[in-house]
Amino acid sequence: MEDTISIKGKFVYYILLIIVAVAVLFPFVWIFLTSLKTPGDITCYPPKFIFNASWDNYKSLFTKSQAGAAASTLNFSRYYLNSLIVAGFGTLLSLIIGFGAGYALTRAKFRKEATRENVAFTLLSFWFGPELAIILPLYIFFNKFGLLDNHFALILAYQLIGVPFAVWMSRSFFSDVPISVEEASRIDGYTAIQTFWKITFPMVKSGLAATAILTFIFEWNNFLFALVIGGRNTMPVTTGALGFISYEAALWGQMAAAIILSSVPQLIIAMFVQKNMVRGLTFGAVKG
Amino acid sequence: MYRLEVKNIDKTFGKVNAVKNLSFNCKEGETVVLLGPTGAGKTTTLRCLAGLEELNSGDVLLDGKNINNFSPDHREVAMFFENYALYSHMTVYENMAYPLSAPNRKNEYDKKKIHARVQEIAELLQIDELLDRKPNQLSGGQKQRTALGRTLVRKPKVFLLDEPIAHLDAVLRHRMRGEMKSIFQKLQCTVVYVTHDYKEALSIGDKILVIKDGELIQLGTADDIWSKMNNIFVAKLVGDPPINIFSGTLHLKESYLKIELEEQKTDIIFKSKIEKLEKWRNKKVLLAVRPTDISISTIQNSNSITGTLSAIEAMSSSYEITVTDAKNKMIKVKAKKNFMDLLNKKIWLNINTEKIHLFDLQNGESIYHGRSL
Amino acid sequence: MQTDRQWHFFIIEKGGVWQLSKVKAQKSAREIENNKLKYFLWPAIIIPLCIGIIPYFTGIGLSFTNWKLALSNIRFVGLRNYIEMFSNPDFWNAAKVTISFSGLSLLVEIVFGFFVGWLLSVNLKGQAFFRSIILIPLMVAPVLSALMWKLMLPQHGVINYLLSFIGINAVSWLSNPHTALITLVIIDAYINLPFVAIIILAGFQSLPKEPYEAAVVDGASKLFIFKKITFPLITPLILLALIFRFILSLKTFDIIYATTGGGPGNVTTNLHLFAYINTFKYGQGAKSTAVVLILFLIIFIVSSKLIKRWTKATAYQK
Repeated sequence: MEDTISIKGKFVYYILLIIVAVAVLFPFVWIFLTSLKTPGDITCYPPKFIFNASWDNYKSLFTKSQAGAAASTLNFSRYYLNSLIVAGFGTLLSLIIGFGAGYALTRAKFRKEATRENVAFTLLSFWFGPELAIILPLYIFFNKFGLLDNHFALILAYQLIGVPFAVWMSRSFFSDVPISVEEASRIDGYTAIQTFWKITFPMVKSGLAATAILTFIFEWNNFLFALVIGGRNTMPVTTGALGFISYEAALWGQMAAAIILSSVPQLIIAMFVQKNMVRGLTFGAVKG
Repeated sequence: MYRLEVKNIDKTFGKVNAVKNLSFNCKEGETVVLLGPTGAGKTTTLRCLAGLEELNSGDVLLDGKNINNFSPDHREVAMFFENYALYSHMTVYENMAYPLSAPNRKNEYDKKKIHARVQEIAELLQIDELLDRKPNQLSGGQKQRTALGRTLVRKPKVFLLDEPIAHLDAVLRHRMRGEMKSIFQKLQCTVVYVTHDYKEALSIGDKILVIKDGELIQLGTADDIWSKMNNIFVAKLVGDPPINIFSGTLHLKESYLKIELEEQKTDIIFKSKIEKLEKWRNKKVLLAVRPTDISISTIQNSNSITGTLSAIEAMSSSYEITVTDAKNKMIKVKAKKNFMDLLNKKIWLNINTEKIHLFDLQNGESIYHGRSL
Repeated sequence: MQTDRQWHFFIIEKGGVWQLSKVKAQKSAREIENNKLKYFLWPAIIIPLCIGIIPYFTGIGLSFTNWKLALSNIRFVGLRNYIEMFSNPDFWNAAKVTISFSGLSLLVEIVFGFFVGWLLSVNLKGQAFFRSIILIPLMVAPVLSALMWKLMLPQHGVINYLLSFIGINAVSWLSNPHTALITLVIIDAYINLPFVAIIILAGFQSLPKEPYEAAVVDGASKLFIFKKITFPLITPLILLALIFRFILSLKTFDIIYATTGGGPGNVTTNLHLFAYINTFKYGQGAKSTAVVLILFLIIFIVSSKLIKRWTKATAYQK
């Protein structure tokens, strides 16, 4: 657009950008401050911006000795572990299924080209639907087989989030690899599978990594599946965080600490996907 | 036994019949050129030979063995892709070493041999300085040579080259045309070479197949294609500037033949065996004559066509002169002189009747060629 | 290393029945036929299709039954659930809430998201910092972001405190029936506006230089340039952001559940939440399934149309 902006123009832009940045960061900063406050400091009004900070809230998340009856059923470290297990293995499975389908969709010879797009769109359309449309039938099914509150069941259910995403993302990256390069490798003496690992895979490595990371983040962030199909044993941090506010007690400080701890890993990981971020978030539609 | 035999191969994509009943042979060490315009089916043919496309019918034999069902990695062919298809995540060295380190070839090449061979080919193609670079750090010409290197590094039975020099700039292309021939001879390659450029075909090919819409139009040597074209299509394809074509009626007189050119209102008279042309007595025919076989004169002659000298282009070793006749048809003449003084003046063109070609108006088949050069 | 393919598997139709057929490949050991990669590829495509299709079709079937949460004797009841749904005032309230919530959110997110996206595209030093800041709400779980706001919004919370400086009286934003919905729109915008912004940003960053250079040479005015060059090139991306936000906004659940639970009353109960409450509070399983499927149908039809339009708009780029 414009190569040179006036000093006055720059000033205005920076002011606007700072306003946006402050608006985005403020809640996090406030929550972080809250997580360092004692219960008394949290509820006093006007709100305190300067106070005596302590790590008590964080500590209490990991010890069982917590004030209040409701508190004894809260087990943050358990929630965290559940998130890791379900999102971790869920992502692994989603990637295996998703990348396979993504590659297949790109390279398979369909009798009609239209079928390729139709299949791809069908896979995508699973993501259109409100989650309850899938969860309610799954609920009956899992209930019958005693699979509610079961890690495996939850991992399986998470595939409905992860697979469409992994398919579309990987498809976008695989189709960037020109087929002539794979053909050249075949002629050079390599089988189809060898070609995939030696030629295709290295070319899409960074894209697949971004897909993996984003899939993990989406599955970690999921709430509704965990709410309905999960239970006390499988509760991840998303549903677990709600437990801090109940009729018995509102443990704001600990909830704040829980929120901070639950968000930090994603923020760090997100720094690594910067390059393919837009492509990832739009399911490969925008090459960014 | 032929190294490569192609027997009646046919390939259809949906409704499009890309390759129609094509057959040819290739001896060891021979270079066969598939020449034709875009969409003629040349690349498809090559891909069928490589195993990248399945034939609808027909057979491909390599040293007598039918390889129809062989996958590309077992066919012992090497292929050069028109878009180079370089492995962008590997260096030039790795690109060239890749075919040699294929698992099913582990016995033939160890690390030392690979290194020696890559070095040898890289020096031959003058890219030995670039071995550590990645494709995105190479110029167009360097990419082309890397791709060529990757193709030549193996010792397969047949080399398949798809428009190897088409995307180089004119100077480089001209140079490579000569180099390719010597490379093939040095490495004793059996080559099937696809191009749309007739100059490449004529200079590189031992045998040339002219292909149009999947069908074989003519199979012959460079000489056959140049002076004994069996179809007007071939005549139009080969030559720069393109051959001049006139339509007229063939009259057979007692001791000579006459072609009455309708538009130019001239009669071209020549001598030949009348019996052979009996079939076209009083029929309309096409007269084709090359720009080099027409001369410019200020004097009217028996075989002259009249026109205005409208343009002069200086080429590397001759002048290309455009003459416009009464009906605004442009006739091209190649000459050694530049005839500047005759620009925009009325002149006469003399056709060398020993070098004319006649073609049937309906099907373009050749009727008569003037005495050979 | 040679792999021998002895058998070919494929699905054929024999007398109207689909059968899995096995044919021994007439190949000798030395003739290799492993071109048929597509036979390996089919399972890769079919498995995800099945994983997705089965629950949806089960759901469709369920919506025609009398399934209640505790009921084990499931009977087919035809269209009764759908008819009852359309005569249920709570359903229509949920529909109204869905439309107002999503409509407002979309408006705010697209308009301001476009503005922020454009702002981030301006060539300034330090933009990298701002661009990474904007990603934060996208990475954090929506539920957690919503809880953050819940923490800040009570009567005596920090938001009210800050607003008092500009003369706005303290309101219990989330528990006041007049303000609950708007507050949710703002929370939703906080979480999702960055998404629109980064898409628009990507759009601005990939604008080709040539049309602009040509326009400058031709002496076009800035407004003209924006209207005739920038806007048409950015429109596909606006459309894309709209498609994503439309689909996701209509199925909003997390943030509403975590902050207001649908209340006060049913002021913030959208269709998705309505189905949930109906099932797990009132046990009306099949009826809720019907509600959800209607919602799905609406999302599917509208987004398919939008996607077709987007595909047309981007076809020239391919």
